[in-house]
Amino acid sequence: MIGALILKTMMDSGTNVMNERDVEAILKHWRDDAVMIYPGASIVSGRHEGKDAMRSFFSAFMEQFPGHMEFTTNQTYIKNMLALGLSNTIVAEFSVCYTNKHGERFENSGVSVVTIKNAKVAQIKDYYFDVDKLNAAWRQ
Amino acid sequence: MIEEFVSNWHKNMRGELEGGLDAILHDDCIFYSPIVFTPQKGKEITKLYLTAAGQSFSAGDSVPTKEKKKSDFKYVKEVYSGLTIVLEFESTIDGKYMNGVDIITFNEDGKIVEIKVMMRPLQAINLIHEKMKANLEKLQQQ
Repeated sequence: MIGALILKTMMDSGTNVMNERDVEAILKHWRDDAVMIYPGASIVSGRHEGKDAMRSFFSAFMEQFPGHMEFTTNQTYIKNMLALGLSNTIVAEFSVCYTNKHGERFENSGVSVVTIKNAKVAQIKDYYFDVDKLNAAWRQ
Repeated sequence: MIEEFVSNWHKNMRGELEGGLDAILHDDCIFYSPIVFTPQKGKEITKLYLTAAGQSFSAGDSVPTKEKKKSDFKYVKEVYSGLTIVLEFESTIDGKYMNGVDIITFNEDGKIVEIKVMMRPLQAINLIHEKMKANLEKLQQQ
């Protein structure tokens, strides 16, 4: 259970550094070969593999949403609560409120399915509830 | 406790649960769908949407009879906390890969009080949208 609790704390900390817009602090928790799968039909939708691709993704994210941005984790689900080690699957249900570079404010919600290996993020797959809104937020 | 409730959900998915959805949906169940953004409230409307969704995933009537095939819909991950479970699924529809999550909340009696569905990629959502619309129209005419 200690391992699961450590990972939950890590997830919460990930949300905080995202809101603080600290890309390097976000990447600190990712494996070098990590994979991110992002939904929608925007310039960043699809599969991103490796830390450099991830850095580009988060940099694009910060450019698209230069103003107010607030991710809130509403619920965290841990696959193996009794795990002693630091490998697990965690699902975070989140809501987000952000303003894009055109000054348009959006609210949305979603789920991140996170695979963690040895205390580092190996894969994140994001799902958003309102994909039309997600695409609108990423308008270029 | 939740393991037994989820087991009933899986039995229902396989068509093996006595009473089907009627046995596990709460009368005031709320269904959040990526296809219809307004929450759908109540057992009957939730049943209607879940039935239409099931038909959409199993090829449906838009496919000629000879080519009809069993759905390859499958759950690939299950993670729960308290009385809520997140089930990640994968499927192909008309040759297009899709995946998503069902977030299902039960009450203490094992009845489903909320179902939320999210999917990707966008092409799959659009395809499911078309199929569900057609299936809903058929179901409403029955």
